[in-house]
Amino acid sequence: MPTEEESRLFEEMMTYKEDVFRICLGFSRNPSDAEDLSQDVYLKALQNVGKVHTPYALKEWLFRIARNTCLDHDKKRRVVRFFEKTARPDNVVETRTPESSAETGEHLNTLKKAVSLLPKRHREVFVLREYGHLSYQELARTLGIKEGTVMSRLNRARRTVTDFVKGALHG
Amino acid sequence: MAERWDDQEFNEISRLIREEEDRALEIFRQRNFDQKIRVRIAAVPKRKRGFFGHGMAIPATIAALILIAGGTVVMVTRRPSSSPESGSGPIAAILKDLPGITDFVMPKETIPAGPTDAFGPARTFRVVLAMVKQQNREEERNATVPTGSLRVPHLSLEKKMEILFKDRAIERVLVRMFRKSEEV
Repeated sequence: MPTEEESRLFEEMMTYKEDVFRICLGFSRNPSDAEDLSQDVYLKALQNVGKVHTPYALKEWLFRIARNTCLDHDKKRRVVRFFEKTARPDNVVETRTPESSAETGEHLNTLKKAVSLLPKRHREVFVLREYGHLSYQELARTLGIKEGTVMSRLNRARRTVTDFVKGALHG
Repeated sequence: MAERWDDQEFNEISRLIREEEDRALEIFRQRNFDQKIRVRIAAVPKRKRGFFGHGMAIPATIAALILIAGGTVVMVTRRPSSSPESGSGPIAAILKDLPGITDFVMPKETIPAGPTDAFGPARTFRVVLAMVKQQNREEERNATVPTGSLRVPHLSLEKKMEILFKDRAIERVLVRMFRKSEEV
C-alpha cells in the first residue's frame, strides 16, 4: 500500500494528467497511443514516487518521465516500422483524428511528419514547449540544459518544422 | 538570400497544434482516464521497489555487487582464529594422502612465517612452495656430491615425472606383450 505522502504526491501528479497527455500526443502519432503512454507514465511515476525528494519539482520530474517514456516508445516504433516498411512503403503518418476535414488532416499529417523528422534534442524541446506548454525555465529544468540552449533549440526546431510544412503544402 | 522565417509563419503551425490538441483532449476527457489508471494500478500485483524500500532505491544488481564486495573485504581483512592452520588443514590432509606427496613433508620450522600468515590459501601455497624448494635443495646437494669421477646429473621435477611416465608406459606395454605371449 502506498504511504499517505505517496498518495498525496500521486494525487498532485494527477492534476497534470492533461499536460502529460498533450506531451505524449506530441511525441506519439495519435490520441490512442498518447493515452496508453500517459498511463505508462503514471504507472512509472507511482512506482518511483519514493524517489521524489523535492516535491516542488514534481511537475518537471513527471514531465521527464513522460519524455523518456515517449522516446523509448518511439525507439520501439522505429524498429517495428523498419520491419513493416515493405508493407507500407509510403511511410504515411497515422493521424486517426475523427471528423477532421481532408485539408486539416493533410496539414496535420505534414506537421506530424515534420516533428517526427526533427533530431531528438530539437523534437523534445519542440514537443514540451508546443504541446506541454512548459515555460523556458521549466524546459531547462526538465531537460537539464540552460535556458539559452532551450531557446536556440526551440528556434531551430520551429524553423525546420515551418520550412517543412511550407515546402510540403505549397511546394 | 535565405528563405524568410518569422513568428508569423509559425502561427499557422501553432493553430494546427491547438486544433489537434483540442480534438484529442475532447476524446481524452470522455474516456475517464482516472478510472483507467486506477484499474491498471490495481492490476499491478506488487509494486516494484528499490532494494532498501522507497527511501533508498537501489537496484538488486547493485545491491548484490555491494554484498559480494563486502564479503570479499571481510574475507581479506579477517584475522585468524585460535588455530592458524584452520584454513590450510584440509588441503594439507588431502595433499598428504596423495601418493608421493608424503615424501615432501618437511619440518614446520622451514615454513616461512610472516604477517600474512593468517591467510589459509596463501599459507597452503607457501607450504607447497617451501616443500618444493626443500626438495630442490636436497637434490642439488645430492647432485653436487662427487662420486669418484662420475657425476650424478641434476634432474628437474618435470624431467623426473617425464621419465616416470615413460617408464610406466613401457612397463604396461611389456606386461601386455607378456600376457599375449602367454595366451598364445
